[in-house]
Amino acid sequence: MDGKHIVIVGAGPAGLAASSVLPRLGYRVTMIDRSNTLGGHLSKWYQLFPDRAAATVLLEQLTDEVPDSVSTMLGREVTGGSVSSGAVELTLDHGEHLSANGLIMATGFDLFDARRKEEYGYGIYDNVFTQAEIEEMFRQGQIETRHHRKPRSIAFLHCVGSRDLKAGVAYCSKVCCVTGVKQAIELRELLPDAAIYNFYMDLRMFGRGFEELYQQAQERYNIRFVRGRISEAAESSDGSVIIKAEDTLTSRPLKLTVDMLVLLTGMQPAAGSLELAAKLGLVLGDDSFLKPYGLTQQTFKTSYPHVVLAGSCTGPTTLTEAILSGRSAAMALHESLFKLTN
Amino acid sequence: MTFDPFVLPFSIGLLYLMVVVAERFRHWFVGLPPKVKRTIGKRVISSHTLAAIWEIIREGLFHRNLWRRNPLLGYMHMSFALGWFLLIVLGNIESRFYSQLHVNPPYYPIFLKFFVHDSHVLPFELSTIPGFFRFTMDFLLLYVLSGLMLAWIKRTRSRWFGMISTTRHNAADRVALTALWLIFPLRLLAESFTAGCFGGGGFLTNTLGAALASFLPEEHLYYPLWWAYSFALGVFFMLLPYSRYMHILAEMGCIMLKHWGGSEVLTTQSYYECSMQACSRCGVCLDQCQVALAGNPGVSPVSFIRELRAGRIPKEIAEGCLMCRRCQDVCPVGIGLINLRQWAREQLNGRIPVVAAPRYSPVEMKAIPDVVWFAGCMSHLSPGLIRSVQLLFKQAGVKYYWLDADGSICCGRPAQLTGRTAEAEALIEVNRQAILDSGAKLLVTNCPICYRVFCDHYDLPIEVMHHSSYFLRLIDQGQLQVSRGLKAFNLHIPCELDRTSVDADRMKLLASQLVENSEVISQSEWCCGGSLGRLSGQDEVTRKISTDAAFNTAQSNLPVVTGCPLCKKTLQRYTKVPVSDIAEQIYLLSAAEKVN
Repeated sequence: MDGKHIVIVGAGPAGLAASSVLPRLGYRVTMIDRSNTLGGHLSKWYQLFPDRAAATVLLEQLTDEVPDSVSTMLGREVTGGSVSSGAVELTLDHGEHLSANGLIMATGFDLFDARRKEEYGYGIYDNVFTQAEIEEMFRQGQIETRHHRKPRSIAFLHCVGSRDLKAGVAYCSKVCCVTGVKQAIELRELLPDAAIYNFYMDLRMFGRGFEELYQQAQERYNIRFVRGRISEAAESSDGSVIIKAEDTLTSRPLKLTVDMLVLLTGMQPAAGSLELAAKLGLVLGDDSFLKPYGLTQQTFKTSYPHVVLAGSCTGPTTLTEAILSGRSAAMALHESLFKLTN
Repeated sequence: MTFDPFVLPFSIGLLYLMVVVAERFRHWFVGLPPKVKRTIGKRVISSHTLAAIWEIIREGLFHRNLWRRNPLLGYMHMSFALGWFLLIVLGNIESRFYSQLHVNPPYYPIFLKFFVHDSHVLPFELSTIPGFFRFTMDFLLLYVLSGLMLAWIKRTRSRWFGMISTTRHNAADRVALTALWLIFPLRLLAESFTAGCFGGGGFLTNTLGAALASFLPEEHLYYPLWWAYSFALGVFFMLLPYSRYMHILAEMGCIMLKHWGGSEVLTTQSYYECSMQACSRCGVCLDQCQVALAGNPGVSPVSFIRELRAGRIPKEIAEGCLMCRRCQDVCPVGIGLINLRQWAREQLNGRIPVVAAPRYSPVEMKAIPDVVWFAGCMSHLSPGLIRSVQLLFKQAGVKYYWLDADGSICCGRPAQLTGRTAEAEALIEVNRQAILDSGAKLLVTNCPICYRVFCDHYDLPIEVMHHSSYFLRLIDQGQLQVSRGLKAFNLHIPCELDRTSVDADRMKLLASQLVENSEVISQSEWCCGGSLGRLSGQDEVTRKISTDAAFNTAQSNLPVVTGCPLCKKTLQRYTKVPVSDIAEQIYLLSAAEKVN
């Protein structure tokens, strides 16, 4: 629209989706990301739930749709900024200034730091991993313990840093349940003889195809699901991990030695998101994610008409939702700017 | 014999008080276990009695501990106690010069100025200090009145006393308080008016009497005032056993019991009953109680004791306490507040039958270890701590047997804090045997909570140490070398280590050996709020307790070092600064093998 300038902070799925829409509406678009690659967390994933689509294919599709006119600044950080009526001023790390008519916050999430749940020994024991590290192993096509052995038993622990008031996190991170199921199936394909466990307190299979995946995991892939959180982990002399849990369905305590423990860590607001929000005066919710105007309607709007929110900076989202919200936030901004000018 | 009917209210009140109090003390004594009675019998004629009397003078009259804690409050309590005491003693001596009797009726010295209007110089004052008694008695009265003035101010302006909040009273307390507050002004007026009519009196009563005589018909007023004075005294005495002023006598009882009965008396029903009466409701504990500060003053010791005195044990009050000992550390009367709360919990939960005592199969020891190590359940949730301790033991060449390597042994403290003493004792018995079976001469634990119960309830014939003390010893003996590599940090002293103990001193000493020479350690004695002691209470209050604790501990945004895995976990949740155990810091500063 008359060459008005819009800045998108964050080049993950939401940012990419927004940047594919806006140039076609006549805007000049700049997309900035801290990281040197496009796609955010998607760029580090191997396969996606529920249909095991390749992450690289989706990332390619998303980037292909971004017109060449979008100026993409990777490896750059926003260090300062202010919002005034009708304008957004941003300062970048090399002292560079950007003036824009509109801003899309697509600043995403960070994975919960598993070291904060010290009882699971992440960062202390050799064979405790997060789902992101397992995804990396899938990309390398090689699953092995830190001692380069093929694991004979693997336990997934759900809800690490989700729905855990003791960790200061009340909310559900939404995608870890199905991620755990998906990764368990992928592991089974690579390790036909291994014992694979999922320790959970609830399995929230809300999306299309999720429940079916869970059924298959039990019936076809012989994944053992235990309802109960792991209370503590210890390391045995051979580097395997001894876990203690309660099987709450049989009300029995349980002690198990596994070669790998995988922590399904939840989402927390990205550190960069919090910094930028503070600089621009954007409001945070009780969960520290960016707070939109409404939770059912106007979920992209902020208190500024020309600043909108997209993707997981407003709370845990699936990829599907992040992409949809990127496009919708772009349209919401377009409407808002249109109203401002006319 | 000199007599006037107005002395009756005082005399009846005094007699009533003596009978009731004698019965109370008799009841407490009879209720003591035979063993304690025998100890008392042996100690009555011994230096223990002298020590008790000295403590009564120090604390009951001079209020030394209260002075240390809060000078203004100390002055207030001392002016009442010491001032009134000296008035009685001196009044007795003075009265003997007039009555020429060895035994006077109790009212005689109290109302002496009514019976004797003598402005002559008393015998032994002749040459040296004329008017000694008249001057001193007036001076003491003024002294008591100055304390009274402070008491008035404290009711409405507690902040002037450096106190955030003051205590609230029940009906008996309020009437007794009014009577007490009237006693001394009435005495002043009665003596002044009498002096105005008949002469006599000292610098205060004589001057005031003369001044008021110019416009008041004192000859008609002085007699009703003596009635009022006697009446105020009578009412105060009658109500004393039912009000907080019972503390004056009960505190003496507690001190005597403590000196005569030794440590065993401290956990008897009689001592609990006596000590709950010994609370003067000074309110010093209120500002120490983190539950009160977080918005629930009902849980504070002073409110808890008010309920106990009324014969009630409300669950949420008995169980809402953190058992952090901060109140006990400052209580000027020295009441065993933690034991008292523990006793209340036993009354509530102690009758639940023991479910099952655990059994462990005996372990065959290949060689007798130097140390039997008990990490504790909370340490098992802190693998960083466990690993540091293991590697430090290895570095120092300590041969150890890890008693709870499987992590499934409970020290018994949680059951105990819940008031399920029998259950705790069943655990203690089994664990005790396992500890002794190891053959080690030293028990080391990482958890101050376990440490507390090992020290106080296991009755172990071997030495028990918290790891901070043990590592300090290893460093002192040269078995462990650490560099002074730490920058300034906040040292958090866990409650269950007991802030007033030598263990806490050792932990501070150890910390001082870890920092670079010019670096500062600030200390925090806030309870983290994660305490196992708090059995019931609202989550939001608990969160506020921990938020306050973390805020006050993580001073200047410097890292926090503690000595308790539960404190570590709790504080980590409420502050952004790094929180670690002192053993982890020693490990990093030592030459021990580094992993990860």
